[in-house]
Amino acid sequence: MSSQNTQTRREFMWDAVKTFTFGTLTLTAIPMLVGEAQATDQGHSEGEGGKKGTILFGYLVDTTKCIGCGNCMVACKRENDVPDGEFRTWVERYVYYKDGRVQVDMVTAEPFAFAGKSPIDPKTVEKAFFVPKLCNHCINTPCIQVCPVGASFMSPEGVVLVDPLQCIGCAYCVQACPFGTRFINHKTNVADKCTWCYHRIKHGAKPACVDACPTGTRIFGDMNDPESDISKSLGENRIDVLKSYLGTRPKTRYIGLTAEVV
Amino acid sequence: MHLMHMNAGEFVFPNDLNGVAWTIMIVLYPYITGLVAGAFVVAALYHVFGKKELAPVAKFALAASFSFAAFATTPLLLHLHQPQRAFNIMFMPNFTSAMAGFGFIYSFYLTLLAVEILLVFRKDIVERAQSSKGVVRLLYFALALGVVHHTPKSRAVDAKWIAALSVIGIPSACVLHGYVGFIFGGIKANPWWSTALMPVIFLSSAIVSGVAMLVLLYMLISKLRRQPVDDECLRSMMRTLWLFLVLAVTLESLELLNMAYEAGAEWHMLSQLITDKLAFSFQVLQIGLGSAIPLVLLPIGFAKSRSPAMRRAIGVFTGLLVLMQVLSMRWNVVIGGQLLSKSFRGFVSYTPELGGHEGLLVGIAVFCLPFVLLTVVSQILPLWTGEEDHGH
Amino acid sequence: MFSKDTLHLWVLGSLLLLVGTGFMTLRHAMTPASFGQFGHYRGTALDDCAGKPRTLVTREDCTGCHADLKHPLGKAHLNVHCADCHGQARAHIAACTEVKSKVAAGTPIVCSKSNLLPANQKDICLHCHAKVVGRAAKHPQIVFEEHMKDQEPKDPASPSVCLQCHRAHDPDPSNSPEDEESPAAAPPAAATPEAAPAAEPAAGAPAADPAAAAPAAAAPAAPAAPEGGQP
Repeated sequence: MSSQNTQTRREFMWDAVKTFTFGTLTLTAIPMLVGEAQATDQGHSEGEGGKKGTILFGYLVDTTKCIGCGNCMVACKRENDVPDGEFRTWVERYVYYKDGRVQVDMVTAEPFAFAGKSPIDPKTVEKAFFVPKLCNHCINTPCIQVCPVGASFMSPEGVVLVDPLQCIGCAYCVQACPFGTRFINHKTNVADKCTWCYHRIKHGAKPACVDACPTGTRIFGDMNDPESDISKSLGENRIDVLKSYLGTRPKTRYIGLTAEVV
Repeated sequence: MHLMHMNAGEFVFPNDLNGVAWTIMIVLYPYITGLVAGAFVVAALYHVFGKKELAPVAKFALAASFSFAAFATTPLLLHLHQPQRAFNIMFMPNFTSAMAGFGFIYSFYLTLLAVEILLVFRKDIVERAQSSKGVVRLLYFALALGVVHHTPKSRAVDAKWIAALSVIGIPSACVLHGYVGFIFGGIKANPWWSTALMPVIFLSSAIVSGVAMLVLLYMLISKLRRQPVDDECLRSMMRTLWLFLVLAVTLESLELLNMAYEAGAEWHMLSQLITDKLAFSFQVLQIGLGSAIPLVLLPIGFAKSRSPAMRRAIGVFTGLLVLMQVLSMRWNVVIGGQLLSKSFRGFVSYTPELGGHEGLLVGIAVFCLPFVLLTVVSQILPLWTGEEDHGH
Repeated sequence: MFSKDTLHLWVLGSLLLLVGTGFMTLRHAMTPASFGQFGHYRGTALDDCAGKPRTLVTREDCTGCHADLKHPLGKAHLNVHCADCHGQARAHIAACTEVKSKVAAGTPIVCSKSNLLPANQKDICLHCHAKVVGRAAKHPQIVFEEHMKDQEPKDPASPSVCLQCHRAHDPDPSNSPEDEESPAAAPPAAATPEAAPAAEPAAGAPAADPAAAAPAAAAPAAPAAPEGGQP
């Protein structure tokens, strides 16, 4: 009676395959194109300060000036209520011994203590320097890319932020960050990281770490303003970034990195 | 990174010191979805590729796939720090994230499986609806979708839909598990995870685990039901298991060999994962016991000349080894990748806690749940009718 | 197509449609209104992040009132935050703001809670100037015991021994501190009324609370507090 019965199983399966293929392609292509568009929107235009007249924040760390006092770490912890054992910023020390070994350790908040580490005999050291670390606020953020719910995002000024009300705490962004700057805040139970003190910079102030630094190691400002300190410093120095081979294009830039700094 | 200088001691980024972010719950999740995919492939081999010898287990395979799928989200919910917001993944998905696909892929696959089960078992459901009373009748009435009759014509229509669903189901099951591989493979920050092969590695080992689980359950339940094990069926499954095991091990080995050969910047640290940090779980469990022995024993087991009794013994032994291999592979990928700090200069360690919502006890409980559901399902639906009944 | 034989499929399809509609409704209800406003995120999250309380004082918080210092900062200490030695001084800022609001603009004031000198000045100096592997050679740094032997200060046991030879704001050794008042040189003066100091511990200083020991330091030594009567 109905034409269905004349269709062989093979024909039906072929129909099914065609439907499925078309359906899948449509269903996957659309989200992927949307996702691509979003990625382009989020990562590139804000990150590169596309529109004229907009602010594009940037950060520069001059490691040749850092004395490892740790004031930045203390200031950040207090300003942002960061729990113990979790760090939005920290300072590493690279020690090159004369016998060819390199040792890396971390500044602690105790004054000149390097708690727990035995003191280093300066006579065995060829060179040593400090490297402050913080969120790189990348242009091509891997963390925003992998956040499944849009809790990680970039502000119009290029600052990478976390929405604590949207975050589901899956920690995918923590895995995706190549620089180890993200963590799950065990008091708030959401992802957390350096925000360049968004609540300060939006009101014309500097991030707490920049204010606290006594030697001018940390520089912050609007890269779209040619008269700002950071624009001038970027223009006058040889600039590097961490893990540049990964292509995340950090907006936290460095003066004075070596090959051993990761 | 270490062009001229050797390391003097370890350094771990401070945030890495807080321990691994993804625990055994995230080891369990791909393990369970792997079983889902693998069981479905066995059912599909019968429904789509016409492997008639799999008739005895085809219905059971569907039910097993469903039972594992039903609890796939449980380890994830236990892991999330804000599980009450879990649905954000479906309400506001960020599609650049592989994880965002989860909600839709999973819902789609679970629905597909549920519908296919309702259709495959429809004849039995309708007959039981007609012959039962009271609350039980209500259950079968609901499962029959309120339509308590069947005709040869309705069964013919169902057969076509079952065929279509099986066809669609294969790539769905593959995507359901393949995307999990991509979650890891797409992370350039982690050199242990980042590889294009990851989705295929995960998928092939998933199918391996699913087939192995079916082999074991088939023999166990046959013993409990005091029914004979169909030798041709077992042979076919063991052969399928072996083929996919060859594929899985080949891909895993290729990945490792390529890494070792290229000896990139982080290789001097990654190699320590294999030789030191994961020595037991990788060399002994995954490679030695889990891969080498089954690769050798399975062909011996499914050889035509083997006696059925010996075949069953080898089936059980290799099935258990393979299940362990896949679990240790998941562990070595998920946990192993987190042991190396992003500083590439030191390692952290992970011992799962016993209690706690991400602990060993909870993990074991979560893994038992699908079997509980499968037992319940077996009371409601006849999973082992002798003749595979498509409804026509 | 629609017959007794396909009825159950229609029931199934309707159920799925119902579930789908339910999902879309729930999704609409659960998605915040501002989501997607600027990108794939909740638009109001920007205000949430920008509106968090600012705890630490900025340099401008200090220079807002103390733009012209009696003891100006030398080049070396130009970047040192006032709070590193003088503490966060939130109470000081609050009290002075209150006092200022009651007088005409420009009237010099002395307000309460203005005793912001730390007692353990030596620890604060050494925090940056102790010799530590990693600090560039051009950065002035000492091994304290050796430096005491070299310099032979008058009172080497004093907690602010550094100030016997160095000016805190301009510590170049060529600037003798005896040219001006300094807290170690001057005898402890009567504290101004209500000068219960409430300075928070300076950033980076060890646990010793300068506030507790501060009454021992001279009250009017807050560098830029202009002399003047109480309003």
